[in-house]
Amino acid sequence: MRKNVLKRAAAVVLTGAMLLVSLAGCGGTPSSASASTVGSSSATSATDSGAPAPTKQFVIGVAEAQANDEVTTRRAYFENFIAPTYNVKFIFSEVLKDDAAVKTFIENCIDSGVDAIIDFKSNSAQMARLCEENDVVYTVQGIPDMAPELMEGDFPLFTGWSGADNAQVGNLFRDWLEANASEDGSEGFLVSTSLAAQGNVQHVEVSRAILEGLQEKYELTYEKTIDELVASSETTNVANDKNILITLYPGSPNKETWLPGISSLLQSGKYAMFLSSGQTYNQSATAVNEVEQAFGIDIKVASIAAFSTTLTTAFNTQDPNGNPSVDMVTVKPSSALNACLFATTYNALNGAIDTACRDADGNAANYRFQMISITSPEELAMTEGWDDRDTGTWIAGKEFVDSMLVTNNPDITPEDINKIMASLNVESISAMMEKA
Amino acid sequence: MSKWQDFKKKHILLMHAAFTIAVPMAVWLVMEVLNSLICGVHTMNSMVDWTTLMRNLVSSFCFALGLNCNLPVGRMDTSTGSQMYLACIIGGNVALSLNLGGVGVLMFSMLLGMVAGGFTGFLFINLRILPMVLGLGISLVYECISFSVYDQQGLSLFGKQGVGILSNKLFIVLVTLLIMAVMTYLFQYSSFGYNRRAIQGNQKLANDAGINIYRNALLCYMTAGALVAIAGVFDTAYKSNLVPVLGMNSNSTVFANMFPMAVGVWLAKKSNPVIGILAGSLSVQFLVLGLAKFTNVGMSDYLQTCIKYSVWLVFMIYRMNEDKFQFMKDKRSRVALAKATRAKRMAAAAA
Amino acid sequence: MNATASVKTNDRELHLSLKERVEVIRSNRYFLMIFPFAMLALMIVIFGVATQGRFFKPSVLKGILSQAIIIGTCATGVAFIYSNGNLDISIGAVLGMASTLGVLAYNATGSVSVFVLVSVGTALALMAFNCTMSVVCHIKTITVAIVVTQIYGAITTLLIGGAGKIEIPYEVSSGMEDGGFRYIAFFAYFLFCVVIYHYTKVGRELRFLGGNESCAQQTGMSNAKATYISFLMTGLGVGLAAVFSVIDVSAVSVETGNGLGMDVMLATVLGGMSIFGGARSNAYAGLVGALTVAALNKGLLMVGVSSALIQGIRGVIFLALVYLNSERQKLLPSRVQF
Repeated sequence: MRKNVLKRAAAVVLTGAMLLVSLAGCGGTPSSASASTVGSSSATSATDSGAPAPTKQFVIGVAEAQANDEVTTRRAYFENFIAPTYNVKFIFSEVLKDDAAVKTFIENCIDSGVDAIIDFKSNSAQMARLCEENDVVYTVQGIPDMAPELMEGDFPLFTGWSGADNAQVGNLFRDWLEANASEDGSEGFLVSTSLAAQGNVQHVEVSRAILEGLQEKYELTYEKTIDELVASSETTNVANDKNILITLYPGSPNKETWLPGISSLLQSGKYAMFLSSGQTYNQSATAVNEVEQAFGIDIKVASIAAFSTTLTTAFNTQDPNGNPSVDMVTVKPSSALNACLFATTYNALNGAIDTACRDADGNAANYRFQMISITSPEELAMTEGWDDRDTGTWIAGKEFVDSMLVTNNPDITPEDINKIMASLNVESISAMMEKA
Repeated sequence: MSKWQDFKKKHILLMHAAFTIAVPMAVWLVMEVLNSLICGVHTMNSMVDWTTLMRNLVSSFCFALGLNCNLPVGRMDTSTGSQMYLACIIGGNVALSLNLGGVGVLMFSMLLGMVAGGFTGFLFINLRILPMVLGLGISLVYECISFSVYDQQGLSLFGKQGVGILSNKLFIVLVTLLIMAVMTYLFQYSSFGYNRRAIQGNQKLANDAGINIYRNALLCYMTAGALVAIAGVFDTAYKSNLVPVLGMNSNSTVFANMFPMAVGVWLAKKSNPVIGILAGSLSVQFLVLGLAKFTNVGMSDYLQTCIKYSVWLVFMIYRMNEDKFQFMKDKRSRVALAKATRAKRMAAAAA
Repeated sequence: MNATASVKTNDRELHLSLKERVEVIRSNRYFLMIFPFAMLALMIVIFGVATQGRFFKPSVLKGILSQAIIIGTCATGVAFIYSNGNLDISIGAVLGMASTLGVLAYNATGSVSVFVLVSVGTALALMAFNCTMSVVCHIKTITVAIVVTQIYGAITTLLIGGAGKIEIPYEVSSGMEDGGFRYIAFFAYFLFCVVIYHYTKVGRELRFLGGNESCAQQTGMSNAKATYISFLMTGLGVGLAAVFSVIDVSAVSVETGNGLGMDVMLATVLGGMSIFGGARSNAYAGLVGALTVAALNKGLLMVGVSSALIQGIRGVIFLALVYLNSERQKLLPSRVQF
């Protein structure tokens, strides 16, 4: 009997093993490059020009900080366009909540044999060091002055930062305020700084840009520095020499207290402008509409956004005053940012880190991209089809990406790449999309 | 016996009703005083606040009621939050694609909620894994599904046709009354409710007496799934969209709604679980809305969170030691009576 | 394959179905001890085969241990709480606050000893507070845990302030890492816990109280004393884990420790221990479970499973392993926790 029992036990164990093997084997992203091993020399097609794709397949890990429209678009861009065109394989992380999770992901990627990491979460010297020790190229989305150790340290395989051009974003807000805000600022400005107080790079950048835009418009002198204001984790009235009411409201819409707090502030009647550094225009829409209806106020809403059906809905939905429920959005040309990050990484992988990823002073490159402002349904209609993951039409197409790569342009420098990024505006993108 | 005690004894139902209403009113009064003195605003300032209160109340009430289906019977289902996400995201999107409006979103979400809860119950009955542990595993799977479907977009009710009804006060009242009626019948007057209470008392005895504990458990899970789906729909109507989460973050919704459930179960001793939980949810909503008004004076949401949960802690200290406080109070009154009697006798003896 | 087989006993033949024979294997007392180790070994073998040997590299296996250390430390400590029939999911928030105060203490004094002592001391104090709420105020531990998780998290966020994280110099953390502090401290703590749990009166009392509280109390065991000991043992582990987490990334952020309570529960159950305690509890289940989770995460990524599916697959495997590892009850499992 005992022999039979043991035999059956072995059968159960083996069945379990088969189950696990089949589960483990059924993964993989079907739309990534067809070669499944690192460094394989198999070529993939799917390049627009018909020329064969480069033979060396690079594997790039992408560390994600959140899950939203932008991330979904990025994934589609990388997997459906960049991967087959440039013979690259991408490994995407789950949503990484902190530096420890990023470190774990990078370690796992290193064990998987990645050649590079693009980090949207961490912006930390620790990760650069980890990559350095394992001969892995490291690129981040961020701002140099948020990571002084990374900026000042010696990391030969660190390619640099990409992020929004703060001054340009500030100008977008300033230009919009010129046209829509009063001369004396008496309407009151409520600014949602989102997770800037927790170090979220994008929210910090845009919160700074909004405060700089207000500062320029009204020639204000703030009593505290903008960095100090943005870092506050409490509701803060920004003290300024002209006593214009600017209130900073931190927090994530995911917290149960965020929306009641916004509603409470708006109901005070002191604010007719609601500016947000995060993609919150849709989450606050109901609360804003209800306040407008109940109090007869016209609250203008400006926010960060990404090209998506949500944005289209927002501009085509009217508030109680007959205006679109969002008045202005600044949109990242997501594929352009991702193309820039990919290009700098790819240039480093092709051995050009010292030329293509270092500025004239030998420091890691600092790429800034321009955002686009959209202020009406008509302007939004002009951008139809831009960065559309369903149809695969991208702002940063093959020509755009090729112009930033050393494989096509051996003498490319960070300044050249910044010029290419700076050339993006509504008109130039429209022209590019028509050509495509 | 004093006149007051006599009155209380004669009108016990009235006293219970008054107690059930008094607690949320007391919370409102305290918040109203604090808001007026410190913030210069009322707790309920405008119709916007009333709409927000009603929407959040029905959401909190349904979720707490859903938790109450299983918790008292010894099943702490940590997957309830993920059931809500799954049901609302899939059910809601299906309803929107069929242009069924807010009512369609509600019905389809409820249906999916029953399916999701029912599947969890089915696994529980067959696998006999501890409910909390099963809940962990199910959360992982349901979160993954709700994240992966619909291109990770979740459910967006913003700008969609026909969903305005979910913010209509009359509709919210009707839905609340309907849920109260159905759940009161289910919990208090149906065989399902009797059996559930019997199982709550002693599962083995109930089983030996012929009650089908497995069917009852399955029905509890299905009912809970339907209720949390309704909660999710109204919550989404307020926040305009429901973004899927990963990493068992849906558990935070479960834990946050245990506060109104705890207050409700305490209040239920004077009425029934449904009315008790409604009153408990109302009390917590007044607290949350009142604390939100402190944003006007710069209070951070972290401090608001601290205060809310500290109030919960103090409440639980009181609730778990209520009998001891009563005992001490009775002891003090006995000692006082004894002292008074002794003093009287000594005075009489002296005289 | 026959579904049944005849088995001769002394006087009569027993016909056992496949299901019954699986139950016989599962109810064997050594099965529960061996199963988690066997599953871990099997998983490593399967991933090794699927990755064409890359999974067997020493650096990969070392990486699994390194990634499992924080959860393993907490899970080893929390085994004491679970054995006693209590539940505490606030250890993530406790870890966050302990590491925050530790880093602040380091930045104020420049002393590594102060950093370690403050971290461990804070964790002990917070766990003692949790225990007091339960023992003195008679609140269920799960309720206390839910409440204090939010409170401690809010306080941590206020302490850390606007940068979102506070750092210690990389030289300090790398010095501690290179000196093997994490491994030495972890193994010392692990051995300490195993000895206390399995070879002393303390552990036996905890398991007895978790198995049958009334019976244990009637033999003279004090539930209050045992609860305090269990929480303090956990506090020691969480304090050490707080130090490890700071060493890992040279910083503490507002998100440090988020979700750790549920991860530890997951690891404990995967390691073969019931979260409701009792006689079959053990102190090593948490470590085995943490290694299993780390191996699973690494392996799934290495074989190329999409990140969107990793969690779902983890959930399915978790449920399958828990089912195989748990004792099937005659009636439905239940435990009033509220």
